[in-house]
Amino acid sequence: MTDILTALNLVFTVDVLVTIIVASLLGMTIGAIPGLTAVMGVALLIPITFFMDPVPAISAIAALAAMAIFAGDIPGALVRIPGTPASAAYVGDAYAMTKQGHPERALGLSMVSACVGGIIGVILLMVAAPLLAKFATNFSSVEYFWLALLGLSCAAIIATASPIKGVLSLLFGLWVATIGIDEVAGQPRFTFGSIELMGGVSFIPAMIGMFALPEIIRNITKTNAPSEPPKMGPVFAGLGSAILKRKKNLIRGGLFGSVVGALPGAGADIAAWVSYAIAKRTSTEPEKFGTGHDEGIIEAGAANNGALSGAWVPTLVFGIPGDSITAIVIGVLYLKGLEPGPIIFIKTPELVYAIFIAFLLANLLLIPFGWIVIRLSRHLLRVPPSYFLPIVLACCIVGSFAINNTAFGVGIMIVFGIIGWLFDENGIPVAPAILGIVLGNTLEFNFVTSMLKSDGNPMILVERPIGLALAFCVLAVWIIPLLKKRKSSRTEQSS
Amino acid sequence: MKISDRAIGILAILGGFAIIYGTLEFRSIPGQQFGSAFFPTILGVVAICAGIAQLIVAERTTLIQFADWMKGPLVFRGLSVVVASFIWLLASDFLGFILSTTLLIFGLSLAAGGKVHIAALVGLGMTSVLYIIFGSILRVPLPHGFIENILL
Repeated sequence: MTDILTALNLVFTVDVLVTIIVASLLGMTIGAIPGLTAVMGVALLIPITFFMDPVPAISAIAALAAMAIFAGDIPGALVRIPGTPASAAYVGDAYAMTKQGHPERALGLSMVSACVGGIIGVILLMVAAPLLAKFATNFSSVEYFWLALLGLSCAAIIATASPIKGVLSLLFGLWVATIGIDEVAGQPRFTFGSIELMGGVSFIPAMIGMFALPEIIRNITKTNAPSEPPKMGPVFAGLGSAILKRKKNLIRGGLFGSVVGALPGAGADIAAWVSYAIAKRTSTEPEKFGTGHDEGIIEAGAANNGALSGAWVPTLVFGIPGDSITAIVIGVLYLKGLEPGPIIFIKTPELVYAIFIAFLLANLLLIPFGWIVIRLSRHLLRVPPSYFLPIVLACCIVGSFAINNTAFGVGIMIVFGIIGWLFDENGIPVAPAILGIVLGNTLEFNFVTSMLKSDGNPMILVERPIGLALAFCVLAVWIIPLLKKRKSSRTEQSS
Repeated sequence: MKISDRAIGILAILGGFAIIYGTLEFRSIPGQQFGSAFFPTILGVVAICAGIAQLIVAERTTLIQFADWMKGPLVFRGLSVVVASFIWLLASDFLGFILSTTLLIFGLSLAAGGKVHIAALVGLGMTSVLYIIFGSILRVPLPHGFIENILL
């Protein structure tokens, strides 16, 4: 109880509340601009959080991400361009509603669904995280090795269209993580004689480059003329009865999204797509999906924000990111001297509760801020890309510079930006590379420690029951896609 | 710019060998079974295996295919992002943050089809905002040039 009161004191200060409000407005703006994603918004925020205390820093990330994911629905509903990939699942229905003359209905439904889904996710986070953390205190280097490998495997294999390309992206990230002085042996690795590289590749400029630069290039080379957004009616009219009618979809979407989000490597995009499919499959009117029907919007809208909160469960408990945003969060926690994992629940429980409260607050703020941004959305969509994209690039540059106060960070950002763009063009996912950079040292440290403990006997990795169970999970992640592919190719041959 | 999947496989194999080659010069620690080369060597081996797998599953396609926008004048817009960033990297040290960033936003806005007066206003306005946030409030030692010398 004392911890909760301390946490309340930590969150309800002017600094933190102002930070949450500013981050929320920034998230709303970024999400509402087509092409700018929540991940990119978080990446741009990191250089500023670098100078903050842990609670406002993490609160700002949570608020920005929640707002950006919801605001991504706005351009999707108004001009059929999803603001973030997580909004793409139900963009057809939302846009159809707009064409029928009810854009405010589409956006109102997604706003309330995002709020409820987010709150369900936070409740899951509050209940599951401390319980799992208690369990995880018994973990040794073996379990941490398997957990890191499980998270990386999920990101590389399950969450990508081409598992081999996912693995290649992951290997690139893991290799980047080895650059710099090996702390155990004092041996410089892959530094190519550069003194700057001795400290390793700074994670933040690399991440800003890989996420933001390809998006800037992609958007600046588009030729589509901006479409005129439609006029908006009152947002809350008839919203309550529509939501009550679909409460089953709302709760199921929130719960499902939270659970999917808690799986390492999955994320809001997958949660939204799968939830939309579930809504369609269980609906009594599946033929109406895609024609401006509300079930898909409510269920998938709740799922994507639920997933956002759920992704923090493995992040805080095991130090394994649930998605790209929480991969960035892990980097921030390390920068703040806080090692994510069960110990954080024992050493600084007030901080964990403060994160929970900040999350809850961010999701509650979705309604008033969402309403404001819906009213302003017509103007936001009119901002020409020729002006905001150079601003985003300037933010990337100054953000990369600010991490180590050297232009070397800007160089890293540009190089990784070009690599990220090449990855993007060739269907190689960027997220596994980022996770590889973040978790590379954890994976190597726990693997080498386990091998040293056992004098090189690899059986140590499967001697303990939890380690063995996790090993089976990793094996399943690697084998199931192969079996599925084999089955589908057999079906193709026989047909 | 789409590189053929086979070429990606070959690049992965070469990358794997390069990683292993790079580890050969790592010194081992006496009495220590697993040194600095241990983990990168595993990565190299897995990269070679993944590259071979990619070669097996890849279909035969043209080595490099350019996207439609890369074949027309839009390619200059795409390039301008990278070129402008590099120019900032090289010039900010002597031009200073304010001038180099204003020029970056202004130039890129024009390259992307913006109007001169709006681009100039956006460039000056946003640079000032960024300078106030990072340079003044967060006290980041941003590159100092002659404009900063006059103003500060």
